[in-house]
Amino acid sequence: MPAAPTLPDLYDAHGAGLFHYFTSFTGSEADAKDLLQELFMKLARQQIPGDILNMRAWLLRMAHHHAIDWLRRHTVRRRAEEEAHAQAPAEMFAAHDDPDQAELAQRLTRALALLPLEQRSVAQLKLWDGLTFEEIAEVQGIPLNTAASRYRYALEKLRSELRPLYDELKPS
Amino acid sequence: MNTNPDAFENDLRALRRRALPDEWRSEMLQAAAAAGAPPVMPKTHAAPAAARAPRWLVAGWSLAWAATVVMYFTTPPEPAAPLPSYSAEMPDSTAPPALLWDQRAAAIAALVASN
Repeated sequence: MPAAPTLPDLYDAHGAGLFHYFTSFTGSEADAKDLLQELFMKLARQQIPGDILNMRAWLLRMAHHHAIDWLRRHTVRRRAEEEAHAQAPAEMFAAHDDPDQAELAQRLTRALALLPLEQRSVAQLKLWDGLTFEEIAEVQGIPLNTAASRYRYALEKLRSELRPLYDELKPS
Repeated sequence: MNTNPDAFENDLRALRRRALPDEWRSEMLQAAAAAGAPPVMPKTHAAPAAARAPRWLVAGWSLAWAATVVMYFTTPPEPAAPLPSYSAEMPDSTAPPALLWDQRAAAIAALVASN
């Protein structure tokens, strides 16, 4: 049986992905940081199995349940924060030297903030965590077709939000 | 279900997500280590207090016992005499069975006659 990964290994490999996944739920960096910290504290208290085939998906499933618990506890506060988040979302992407890429990243952050939570989180998992629809369905506990359709709707909305800029940057 | 990404998806994918601040790493791992460590117990410590019953349970038991005691002291040792109307309608239960039977037969005959 392979050795279980250590917490520093998990943090280095998956910390950022988990943080961004939490941000798609909370809309606030501070809350996402708290959730990430709580998740690592939870991991420290339990035995991490060494035979997990897809550690990223396993951690994201834990993160998903943790985020859902958080949402249940903070429903009222979340609505207010979501509105504020849509106005001024936390920066999600790294700084880019290329001004076109930087502009696209900025617009994309804003477009993502306008998506419903369900679509935003699926888009994150698919586009930047590289999960398949099967894995997304398992992480979020939803049917495969639901995961696929949420992604399709999210992508269509992003496409229509970013079309003017995208057409300008990438004339076909 | 088409899973082949188009150019737009590939361009979105190419954007790198922000890395976490360096100072978070030690902060989070220290907090996790502290959470995972077994609790430090002093060498001499008092035995843990027995778990207390919840307040609602204590209050419920108290009320039930209070009601039992009140009923015990307020209930007379002999049952009260039956109401006059009740006793007039009901045959005397201490009468001999044959008399009791006649009384009941008369009551039924009167009831049938009245209808």
